Amino acid sequence: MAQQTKHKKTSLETTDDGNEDNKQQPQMYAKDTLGRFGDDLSALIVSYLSLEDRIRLECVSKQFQRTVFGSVVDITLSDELMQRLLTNGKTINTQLLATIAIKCPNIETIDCRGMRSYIAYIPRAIKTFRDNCHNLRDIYCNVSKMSGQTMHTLWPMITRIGYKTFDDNTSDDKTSDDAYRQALTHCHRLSKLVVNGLLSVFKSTSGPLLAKNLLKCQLNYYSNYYNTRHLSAFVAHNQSLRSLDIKYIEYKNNKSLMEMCGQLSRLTQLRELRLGLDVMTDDDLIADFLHTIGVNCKLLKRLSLELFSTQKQINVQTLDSLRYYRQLKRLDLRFNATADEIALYPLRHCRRLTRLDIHFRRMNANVLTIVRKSCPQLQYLCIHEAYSLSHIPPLQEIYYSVLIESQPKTDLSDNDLNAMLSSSPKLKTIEIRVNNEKKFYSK
Amino acid sequence: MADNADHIDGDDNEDVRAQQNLIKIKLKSSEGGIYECGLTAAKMSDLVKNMVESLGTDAVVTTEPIILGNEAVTDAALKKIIEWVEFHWDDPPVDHDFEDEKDRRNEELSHWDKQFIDVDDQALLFDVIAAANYMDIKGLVEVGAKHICSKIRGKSCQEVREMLKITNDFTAEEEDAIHKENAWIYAKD
Repeated sequence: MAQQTKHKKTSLETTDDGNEDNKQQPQMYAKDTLGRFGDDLSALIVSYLSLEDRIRLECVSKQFQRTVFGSVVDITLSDELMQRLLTNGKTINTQLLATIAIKCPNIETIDCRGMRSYIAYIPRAIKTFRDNCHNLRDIYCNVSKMSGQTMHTLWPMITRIGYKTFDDNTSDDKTSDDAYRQALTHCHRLSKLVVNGLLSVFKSTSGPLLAKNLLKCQLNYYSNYYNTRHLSAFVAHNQSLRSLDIKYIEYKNNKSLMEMCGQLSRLTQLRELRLGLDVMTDDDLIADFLHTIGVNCKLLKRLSLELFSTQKQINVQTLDSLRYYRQLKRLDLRFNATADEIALYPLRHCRRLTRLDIHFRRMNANVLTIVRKSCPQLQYLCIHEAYSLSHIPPLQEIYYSVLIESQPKTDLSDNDLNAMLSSSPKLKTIEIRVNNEKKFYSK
Repeated sequence: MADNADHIDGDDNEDVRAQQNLIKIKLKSSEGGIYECGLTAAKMSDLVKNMVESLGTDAVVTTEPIILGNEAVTDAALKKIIEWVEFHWDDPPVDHDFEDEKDRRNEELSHWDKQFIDVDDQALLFDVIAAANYMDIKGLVEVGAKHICSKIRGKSCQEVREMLKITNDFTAEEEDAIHKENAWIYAKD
């Protein structure tokens, strides 16, 4: 450090000294070659390449070879990758897998959730990586046909389980369910789980719960007698949950929805809650739900509500309980009803919002004016513009980016959008998505 | 992107940052050019931030310019760097409450950044990246890195060597051996 300061001082006084310093560097490179960068910077630059590109470009130069693999910390085992590693199109070439593992010794996470056709090879693949990558900590997978001796030592490394895949070859659901439950009993470090119904995480209808102390869970909830009890047990043993994504199906009466709500409100550590209702609900119920959750789950940072309302217009009272969500930073609202600015007044309680995603049947430009006034820290706004938004008011000083998902025909013209950009100094991009085509407006 | 060690929340902090950016400090390139830059913007460089903190803001504002002695910090590179930090200083910081913000690493560059970094003069481009690395502006190094990676994605070794002017220092035998080992990745199905 002292030497550096001294160096700067000399270069301040006489430029000649500075040049001489440069000449002392071991090798001079032209300014327009990547070779001028040291290994650290070179490693940083190539760290944004895909694994495939890294392997293909290993023989660019010795520096590439030295620096291109060190930053690989996550690897995704996909069908495409496995296909390439087959010998004679039949068995997996473990030798090639080992070569990858040796080249990339810093791998920490393996994700094989996307695999469909070569699931049977997963245990051997994971074992190869475990033997060569000593920082391997997390494995994400979909439990299915994976079984056998090898898996026994690997289950405890599995921290995340995705959708249960249905095996096309065997129609024996029971065997597959049993294998799934058997697997769950071995996954002691499991923290994130996607599950179709609650029943899958119980040993039997009246048996013990198999997934406890989760951090994150995504599930469907079917309202019936068993599930009410199961949910109660699940909530009791998963007080640790930080994030829950729950879809409510087969709604019978208002009581069962409120029962579920009562259970969820015991999850006081929740940071993220996403609720989808598959049924028509009236607005009073939504108001009750928001109230119960808001009063109890005080740490919520993200709330997402997707529902079908029986009313055409969102009531003034419906969102009133947003007053209990002062910590909220992200909010998604998807209602198939019309929203006017009065219904959205309660947004003013959520002054910390940084992201807002609104999807209504219809809304007017005044809604956006209220949003602008209510949420001074908003960075990102997503509007699903279905029918009627004919203009966008100035969105000064707020937004970082705006995404508009629009029906094929939108009344918004290029002029409107360019005017919006120039009147909103901080707005950096507007993205319009129509039928998956993206169009960008930016300064 | 900005490193918010203090967790002061809300509008006040934003205002302080905006106020501070009205204060101009001087940065001196290795070629001797002196350029003005807002204080908050300049502090996106950890090197500048540490200097400002050890010298005190008052000293930095009133006295000599901060000297950036690394040869990559040419006049042209420093001008580009100041343009970048003046655009990005008020970017929202990474919010650690949300897991997906870690994924920003994998995000594509914004339209503005793409236009900013698409420099024809490769010597200047590399100066900007090396200077940003020397000045410890992580966000800008990332922009440069993503730009280079997007240019070499899917290209052959020889194309990459030509594009980035890299000398192949492998012997023919060594290159063959690597090719053989990695043959499976080149195979088309």
